[in-house]
Amino acid sequence: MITAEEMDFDFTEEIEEAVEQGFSACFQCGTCTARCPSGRVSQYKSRQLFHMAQLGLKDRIFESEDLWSCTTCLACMKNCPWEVKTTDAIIKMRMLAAHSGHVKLEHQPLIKSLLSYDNPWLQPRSGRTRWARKLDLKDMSKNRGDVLYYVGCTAGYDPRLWEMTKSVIEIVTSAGVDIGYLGKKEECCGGTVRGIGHPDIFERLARDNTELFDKSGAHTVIYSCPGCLNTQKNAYATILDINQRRMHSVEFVAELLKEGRIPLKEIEAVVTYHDPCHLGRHCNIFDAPREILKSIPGVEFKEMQFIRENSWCCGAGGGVKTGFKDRAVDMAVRRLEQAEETSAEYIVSACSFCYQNLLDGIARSGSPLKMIDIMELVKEAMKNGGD
Amino acid sequence: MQAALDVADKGFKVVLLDKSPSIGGSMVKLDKTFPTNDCSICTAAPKMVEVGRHPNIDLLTYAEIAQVEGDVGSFRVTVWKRTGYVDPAKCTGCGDCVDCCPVEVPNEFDAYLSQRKAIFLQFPQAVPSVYTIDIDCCVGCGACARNCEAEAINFLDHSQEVEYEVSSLIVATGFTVLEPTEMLYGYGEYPDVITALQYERLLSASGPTQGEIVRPSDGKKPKRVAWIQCVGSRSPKYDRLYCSRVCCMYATKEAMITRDHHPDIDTTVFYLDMRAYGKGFEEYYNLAEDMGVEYIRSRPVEAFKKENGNIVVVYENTYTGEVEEREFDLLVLSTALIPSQVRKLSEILGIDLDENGFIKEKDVVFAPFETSREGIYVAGCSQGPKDIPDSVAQACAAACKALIDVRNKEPEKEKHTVQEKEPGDNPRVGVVVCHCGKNIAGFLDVEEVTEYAKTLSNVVYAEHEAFACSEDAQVRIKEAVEKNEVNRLVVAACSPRTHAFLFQQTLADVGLNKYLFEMANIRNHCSWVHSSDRERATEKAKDLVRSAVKKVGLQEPLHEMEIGVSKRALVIGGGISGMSAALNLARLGMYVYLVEKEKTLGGNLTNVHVLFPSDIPAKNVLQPLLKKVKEESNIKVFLNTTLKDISGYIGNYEAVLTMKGKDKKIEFGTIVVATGFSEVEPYGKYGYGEHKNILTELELEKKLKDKKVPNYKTAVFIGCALSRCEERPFCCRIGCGNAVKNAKLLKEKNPDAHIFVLYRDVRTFGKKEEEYYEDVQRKGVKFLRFTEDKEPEVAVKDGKITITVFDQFLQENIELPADLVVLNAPLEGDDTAEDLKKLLKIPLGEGRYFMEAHAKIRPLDFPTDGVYLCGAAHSPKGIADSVSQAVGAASRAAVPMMKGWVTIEPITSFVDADLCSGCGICIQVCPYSAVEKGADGKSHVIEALCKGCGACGATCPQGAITMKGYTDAQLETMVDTLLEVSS
Repeated sequence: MITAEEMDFDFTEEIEEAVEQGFSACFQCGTCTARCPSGRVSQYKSRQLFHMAQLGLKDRIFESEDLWSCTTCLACMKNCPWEVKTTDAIIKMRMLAAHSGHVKLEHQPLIKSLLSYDNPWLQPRSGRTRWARKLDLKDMSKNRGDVLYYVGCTAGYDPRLWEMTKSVIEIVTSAGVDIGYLGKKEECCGGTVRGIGHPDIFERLARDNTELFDKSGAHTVIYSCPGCLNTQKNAYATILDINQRRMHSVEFVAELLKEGRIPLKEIEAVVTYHDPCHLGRHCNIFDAPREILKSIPGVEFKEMQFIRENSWCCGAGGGVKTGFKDRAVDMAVRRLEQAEETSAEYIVSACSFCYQNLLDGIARSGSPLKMIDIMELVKEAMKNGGD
Repeated sequence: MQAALDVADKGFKVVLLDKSPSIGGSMVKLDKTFPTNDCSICTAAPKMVEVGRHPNIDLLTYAEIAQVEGDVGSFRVTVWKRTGYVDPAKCTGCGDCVDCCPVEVPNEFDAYLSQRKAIFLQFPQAVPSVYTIDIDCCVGCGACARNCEAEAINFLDHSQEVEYEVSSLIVATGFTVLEPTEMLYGYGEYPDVITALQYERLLSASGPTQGEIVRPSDGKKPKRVAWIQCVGSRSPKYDRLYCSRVCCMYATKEAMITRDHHPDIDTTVFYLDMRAYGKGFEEYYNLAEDMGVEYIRSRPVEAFKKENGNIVVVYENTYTGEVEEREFDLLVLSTALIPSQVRKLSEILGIDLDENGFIKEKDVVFAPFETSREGIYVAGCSQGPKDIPDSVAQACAAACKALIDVRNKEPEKEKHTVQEKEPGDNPRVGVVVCHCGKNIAGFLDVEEVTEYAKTLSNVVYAEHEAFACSEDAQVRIKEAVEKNEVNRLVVAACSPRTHAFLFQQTLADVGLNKYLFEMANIRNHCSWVHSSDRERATEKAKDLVRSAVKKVGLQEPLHEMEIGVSKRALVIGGGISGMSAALNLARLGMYVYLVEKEKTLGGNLTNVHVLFPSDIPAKNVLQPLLKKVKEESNIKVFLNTTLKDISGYIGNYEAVLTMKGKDKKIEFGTIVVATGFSEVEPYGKYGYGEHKNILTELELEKKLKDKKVPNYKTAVFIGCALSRCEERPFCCRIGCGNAVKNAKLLKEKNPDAHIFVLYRDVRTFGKKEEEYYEDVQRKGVKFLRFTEDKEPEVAVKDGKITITVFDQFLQENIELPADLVVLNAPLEGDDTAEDLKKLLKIPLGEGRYFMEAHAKIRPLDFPTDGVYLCGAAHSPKGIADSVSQAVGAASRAAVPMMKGWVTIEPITSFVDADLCSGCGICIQVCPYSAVEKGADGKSHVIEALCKGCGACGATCPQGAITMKGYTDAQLETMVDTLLEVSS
């Protein structure tokens, strides 16, 4: 039984102000829930979360794990026929929750890590340079350069992703581009922590990184993680000036390929491509990775059924990888099943987070698919390099 | 068509343009119409033929307006009349041209489910019934011209500009349906995802599959069909907020018809709010559920095709919370109704469009049939989505306004029809047996019946026709009648109720008395009820034809009476409908007696605070209207007055009005019933009567007006209190709008208050209403949905009200302390309706609302001639719809009055004074008071009132009464012949 005392309409209004009175007009059609990846592996119904918010059931929401179930994949928001800013409302709710001391238990180490080490993995700052040790990569926190590679915390610290980061450097350098990174000065982009409701920490990280970018003299910043790209291109723009061209490495490499600066040889691979939520729905980048895949001779590219704006989230985003470890992998397994229907050998992605989570999914389900990042594939196909 | 007929029937000239080769619009594409499930074309075709042959209507099809200059009263219109390269005078409609045409293009009439040739006839009952060459896809091979025996094709013909001078224009360009290729349902990608209009074509006997429900992909019968509602409507994402108003009903209809034809097909409708708001709609919806149509409250996110070819619909059931991916064989999308290419037209006409591209009305509430330019009116879906009866009412209203612009011109007298010739003594009977497409021919052997007819005595001609009601069939019938000197006609086809007048007019056109005619109903009485026994159905059809031939052989010519019609009208009810009807009748030049039972005019509107969805204070609408009525010299207002007694018939009524004991006699020609509605106090429901702050909607309106609303921190509105239940299975139509409107008011009055609306469905279907509903939600009013089986509980204890509602979306009970509770109480027809029913002999139906002549195409007429209906007396409705109906009723009532006379059908009874004993039983049994005792003590029939029901003829113990057209001799011979064994 819900009583009137539980209804705090100030809470509702706060959220509505932030999302321009969107969800008060929601009449509960269920479109969002039907498309929610988190809902498919749990009891979470995004529609009910919004209805509770409409009714101001603040305490219920704060105490429920539903609030933390969203991966911020944006499928609901893109599909909502009433154009309600659903994901933004959830992030605002998380902010209000965090503000009143409600933080998901599993997120607490993540937040503490950011406060102490500028990364969410409880790793030392110097660990950020390990993957590049043998590369003689320019440190643009000290020297100026043209193009800055923003590695991101996941790729920076997870050895499983270092083939990918090294590939980026190899590809770009072979095309004659002057590239560098920020070494151990690089700080977390702040995307996740913003997504789980801590705008203050996010702002601090944003300012630090932006200062470093501006000092580096780079005209372009490229990324491996679309989460970082989305955060630093879109979210940062809400509070700071953006003085560099910010692109995902797939966009950058696609350009180089078009200009003929990366000669390719033939490789044999049957691949399918998973559109990461933050690259696709958040940044509208669907074509660049496909152009790359189609331009590699010998690669047979098979599309999945749910692609582009219709892609299904791998399950890692929005703090869910940390907050609901098993559920994140459940969602990955689901996505892998969809990929398996193409009979491809490789599942290609362009996101550090998706890579990690899908890899965990493959380990759990024993899927025959092999996880590979698009940069690794390009490196394989390079005439002057790779094996 | 309705607008044109309303003008033409009054004696004025109309030019009717349609850019298609045939008139009929969208209605002829439908299989059946809700909520009566009447065959759509059967209802529309007689109107089409009436238009086609009306002497005052200049019908120009395959034509468009090119230019309009001038002003109201004298517009100069240039029409571009395209040529179809076929001479209508020569074309026999044989169809040989179609067979040899090499070009195939998508057939827009079948909503692109089939192909047509470059030369084509849109549908069998097309008016005019002339084949047309679509020159845009014709390759010029000339095969059609070479094969045309009638030499009707002329490639040298050219399109022309025709100029007209008209006083006013009416736009009625209708709608088209959205093709949702940008949405995630797979339309355009999967052939088994179709629009509801395409499904309609599948259901239609004249459609691409002759009425068989099959999947477009493999031609197999589907086992599971799903409908998705609100596709493209109520979707700001796709730039359309508005509700398309008719989809809930037509999807229900399609599902019902599917279940009816094939009880083994599962039907599922995914809906958001079931907008079954109209007359008979809620009952229809209940019937659909009883028939096993499944309704799931959800908006599916997408549909995709599985490898096995089935369509998977992905949705969340918003009641149970379950997310499902369910397989169907066929997916039907109820897509938005969108304006039919009016942008260019609006520029030519110089009229404004609204934000959705529909024609912008001058005033949404008060003048929905007027455009932004004087002298140009609008009707039907071109102004906004609506169903057939609302379109028809609006069309009549537009016709009324258009004629007011012409008021100083005298109507033309109708041209004389063909001179009638004597039939001769020996009956020479012609028999036409109709296939009715597959409706009859699919179930009995029409050709065998025709051959049989030839063997009957007196039959000199017998032929069968695919569609006897089509225009070209009339041509052939006329030719056959003349060639064979036929003097009596039998048509074995469908129901005389819908088609008799059509064939009668055909006879009149060749100089035969139109009563030398008989229809044998071998459809309703044969093919429809004996669909499983072809042999015996054929035998029965022969019996029916034989008996019709016998009867018509004894038929003598009958002659219609013409009676004059007084130019005075009586309008009963002085609310907004009554006043609007009265004003418009006056402007058409009639004299009106406006009778109101209360001490002031205004009706229920007097107690309304503001209107929905315009937010205009009711008094801003009422005061000017009262002033206009007062200043109109052609209206005489009677307050505190009711109708005491009435006698007479159309054109010639005498009535006694009574006012506070004093009587007054008046005479007039027609009557408009506008008695409105009353609110039923829902005692026993939701605590009504237990607390002074539990009010009905009207009670709240009054308090708002008088600024006496009690203080509230929480106000709760509860919908459907004692409506939409077993006791009262109908919808009050305006409750949701009122609740939403007043919820907004209460929120604005006290922004800190918590306002809740508890509802079953939100029925904000009208123009601007959906946008209003969104706005109210944005203002912080909370909407909680409950279902019929789990209604809210209202507990009153120690002066405190507590409401417990089971919120379907959270699947949990919510407890609300309420300071003010407002109930949507049921609305019923005014309590004077019972008296009026007896006095005027008009039928009263459910909810104490009057029953119109035909639910779809005659909403403003009664079966009794001369009496008309409008406003809430018909069924509850908002102001805009009431005003449309009221002005429409004025138009209807003005038809006989402006014309000046009516024809009385001669199927009446006749008393043989020699045999009459003066017992008077016939007087007692006559339901129409059409028999009276004369000075000679014998019974006399008032022919103008007699409806030919036969009650008197059956009761007369002396056998003194004969029914003209159904004499004893005729009936006896029919019975005798039916009992014979057919050879």
